Amino acid sequence: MFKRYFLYSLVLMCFYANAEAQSIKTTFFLETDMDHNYLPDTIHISKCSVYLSNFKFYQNEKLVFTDPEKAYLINLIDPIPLNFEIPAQVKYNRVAFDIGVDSLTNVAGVLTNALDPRNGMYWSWQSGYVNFKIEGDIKSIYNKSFQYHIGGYSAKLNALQSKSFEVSAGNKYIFKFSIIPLLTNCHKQNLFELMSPQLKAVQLAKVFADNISCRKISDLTNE
Amino acid sequence: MNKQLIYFLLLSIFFLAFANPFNYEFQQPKNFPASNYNFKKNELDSNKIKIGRALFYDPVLSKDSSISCASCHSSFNAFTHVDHALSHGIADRVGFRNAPALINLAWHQKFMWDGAINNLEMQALAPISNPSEMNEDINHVLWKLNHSDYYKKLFTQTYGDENITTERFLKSITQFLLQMVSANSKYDSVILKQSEFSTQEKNGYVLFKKNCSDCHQEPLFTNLKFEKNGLPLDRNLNDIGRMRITMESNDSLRFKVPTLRNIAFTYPYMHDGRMNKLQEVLNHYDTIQLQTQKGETIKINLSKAEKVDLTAFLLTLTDQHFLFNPALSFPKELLLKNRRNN
Repeated sequence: MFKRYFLYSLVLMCFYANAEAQSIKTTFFLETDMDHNYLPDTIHISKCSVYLSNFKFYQNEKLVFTDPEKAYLINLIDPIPLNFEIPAQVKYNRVAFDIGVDSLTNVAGVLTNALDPRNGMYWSWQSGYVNFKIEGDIKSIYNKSFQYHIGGYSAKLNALQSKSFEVSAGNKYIFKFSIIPLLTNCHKQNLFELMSPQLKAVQLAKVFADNISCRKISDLTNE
Repeated sequence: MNKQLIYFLLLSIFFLAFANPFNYEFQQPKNFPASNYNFKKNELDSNKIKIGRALFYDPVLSKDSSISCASCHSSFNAFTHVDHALSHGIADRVGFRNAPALINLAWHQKFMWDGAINNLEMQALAPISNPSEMNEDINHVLWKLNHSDYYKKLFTQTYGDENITTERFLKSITQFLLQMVSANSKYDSVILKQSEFSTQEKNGYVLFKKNCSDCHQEPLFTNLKFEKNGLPLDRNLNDIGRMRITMESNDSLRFKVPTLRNIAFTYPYMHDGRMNKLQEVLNHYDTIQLQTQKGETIKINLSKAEKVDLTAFLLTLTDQHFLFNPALSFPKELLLKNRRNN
């Protein structure tokens, strides 16, 4: 009888210890910003918003933690840092995420928080999230305003991009979004407005994703 | 004995405390397949349906508070707009498509003639923001509702607080749209062996199954797919149909197959409302070559008598219970709200 109770207590203690270990969290700090380098005075950006979603943390290619928050809407004109609470015992050396909103989320009906359709990142005439928006104007030879609303989730019009970076726990990181390659790409083609899912949008989404870099904050401060 | 009674009472109190007295069961017709809507995500509730109904009939959703959803989707016309080939928006603006009938939406996966909307919950956003329809902004709609005593009271009664969010707003409208079930026509009673077709209707049913049911599949009378209706492109409207969404050339001039239920009440017909009479539609399909789902090219050759029989069958799809269902019609409480101008 006593043996049985002792065994039960032991099992309960193990559960408790495990739950306690799970409850101790560490934070992965992430900042985001537009890369202002090479952005000429002739270009004025009035809006630059992007969805970052499906954050996953890997240790040697093995998935160790999935962020419960589906998506974050980042305003790159006035960004706020993201904090990911990760169980302390979880070790990771890579973070992966999507730029945009995945197809399953796009067909899931009405959602809240970052994915609330009232955030101005949802196409109402055709269901679907705008993965990122860049608006502004360019003086120089063009002297035009531009609007790029890039999205699309279906088949060959799927503009979702995935990205991953090597990271290590205990450091702060910053994602830098360089938008000049995308603007140059568009302006050279006299493309100043693109606001619907299409093949060109998929190409621009790739250009946008290719020009996101990740640095340790400490590296930046040492520069 | 007393102990058992106490347990029973305690259990009853427990269930009453957690049970939602406004829970509402979806009326699944016996002759229909399972619906497509995920009711677990938006459990039906008579109070939410009431809110959805008020919103559906309230012009507050439009920029100048002149038109409501019901302006183009009137209940006594199977929730479409008679006498208007194209949808009619605020300030007499005209859209570029015929307002579709809202029938049995719980079974649909994609909405609008081109399938632009992928979930019933998101449907209301399209007419609200369309400049040729309500020309409004969802943020401003929510602002107006959050400043309305009438809606604040309704939402508080239902959700526990007066905060009117996008989710609550859209899910409430969706709950009302889900009530638009038409499954009580003569056709349904024949299928359920509660009545019989006349000889003419029976002949029409045979002709229907042979010539029309490929696209207008029973019991919804639509295969929910996008098909070519054989109509030439209207050069003024330049409506390329499904291709507008998929950018696939094969989808050019494909439109969502409309249901034939309540067809006698949903004129004018086709995606741009170019045909006023059912006879015109039958004549159109009689003169063109159609591609079946199997890729075969067929031509429907109907005699005058056969067209009459087919029409007789199509009239058996009229559902008076649906058309004149008081639970789906204009809610009189809205008059009180408008009188108080809030």
